[in-house]
Amino acid sequence: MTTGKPVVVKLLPETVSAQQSQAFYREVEPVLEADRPRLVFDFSAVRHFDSAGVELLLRCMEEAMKRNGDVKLASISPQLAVILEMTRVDRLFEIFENSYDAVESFHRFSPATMQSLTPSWKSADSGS
Amino acid sequence: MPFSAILLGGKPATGTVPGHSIRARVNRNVDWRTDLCLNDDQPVSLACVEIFGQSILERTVAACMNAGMRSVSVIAVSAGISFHETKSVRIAIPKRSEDRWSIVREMLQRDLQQGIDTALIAELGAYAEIDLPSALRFHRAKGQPITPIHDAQGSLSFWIVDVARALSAPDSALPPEDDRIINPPVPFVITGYVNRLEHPRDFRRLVVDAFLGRCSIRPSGREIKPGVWVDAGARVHKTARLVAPCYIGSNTRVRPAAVVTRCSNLERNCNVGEGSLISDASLLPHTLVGRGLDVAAALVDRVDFVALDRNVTVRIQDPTLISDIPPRKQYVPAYVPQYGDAEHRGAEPDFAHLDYLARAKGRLLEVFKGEV
Repeated sequence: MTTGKPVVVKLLPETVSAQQSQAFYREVEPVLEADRPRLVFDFSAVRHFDSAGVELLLRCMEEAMKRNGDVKLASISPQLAVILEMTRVDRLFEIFENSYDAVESFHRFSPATMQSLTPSWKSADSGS
Repeated sequence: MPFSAILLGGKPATGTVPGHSIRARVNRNVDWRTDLCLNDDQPVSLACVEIFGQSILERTVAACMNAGMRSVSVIAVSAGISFHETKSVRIAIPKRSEDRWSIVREMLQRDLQQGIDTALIAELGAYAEIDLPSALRFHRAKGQPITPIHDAQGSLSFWIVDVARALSAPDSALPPEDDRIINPPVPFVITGYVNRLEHPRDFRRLVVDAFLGRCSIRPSGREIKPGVWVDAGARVHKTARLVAPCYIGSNTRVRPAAVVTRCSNLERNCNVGEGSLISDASLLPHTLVGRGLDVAAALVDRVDFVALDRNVTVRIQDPTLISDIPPRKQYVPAYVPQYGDAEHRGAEPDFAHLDYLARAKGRLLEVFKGEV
């Protein structure tokens, strides 16, 4: 399946806490208010991330969903992945190794580029 | 040369509704090799459990027919196994599962009368992607009465047999297990995708492999956005979140603020309650999941919950958690959300994802207080 709407890539700041989250949300708000917004959040610069960042992600996701769009995540560090897993936010997003793959995923399904698709029970496998 | 297939479609299924798939239930006797059963004493093969609306048995029948086999026969032990097309498939239902090999013999005799000289016999079993024309050529080149089909790990319980020579052998030649034959034939070894479906984990692995394109099984239905397939009659609330890849089966309902993610497949006539999360899990047909639940790394069949990470099975009789949904008599086409569909836009936001995550976020505030 392919779709042709443009995708906006936003680079998140180095620190995503309450203050920065508000500023970032104001920055992406016009995009989210468009018809069928398609956003990729690039986390490659993020060094500090807290619950305000989690809330930011959820808020953006919900706003995008209201307008039948979507938000995808890219370049998540292992440290950040821990937080997303702890808050179970990781299950709500498609997560990609880089922005390019995330943008491409809006056009076609390409599972090879997706992170976090390894089954959680695989390590418990007895080898069957 | 005329070629036929005889498929042994799992173990007995009793008391199921005709035209409705097997009700698989997990064997609590912790013998993981018997896996799923119709009731406590009747095991059923995972090959009879639906994946994307079609069981491995049904898929194998289709593959045989596509390969140009003149006839396809299925030996099931009850009418519980359903097919979308039954006209060209012979179905036999033995009274006892032990009788199935004598029925195979009868079918071979009928094949012989109809001029069929070669047959594929398969006891499903494993899901194996076999190059049938190559296997047939191999069998003929070897000139042996029986050619077992193996993968790198050994027998897959698939055999190509020369009908006349198999019938002339004593009864003990069926089933044609290798260790029953004095001079074992040369096996045809396949290199394609194989999943032995010996454990519910294998079933989940097959689902994941299908989503990831590692085997030839593909989700049915409409791909409403990249990696999200929704089958006919499914209803997905506008506030439910479907994270690719996932599959929503026909007539399945996903209620508000529910999340389906991580290669999950919801087979037909399921119902996922408000705010529930289905992650890395398979819901077999007619399974209801209540409100606000987390179903992760699991295979759920109505009242049976197989936790794949813990390797345990729990039967839950509480309808507010999981339960079964009676088969629907009518197929009712309903609204299917489409990516970009104007109707999909919510008039009133009633998302519950924030509520769903509130507890975790509270903990996060306590733990991190800022920097990570």
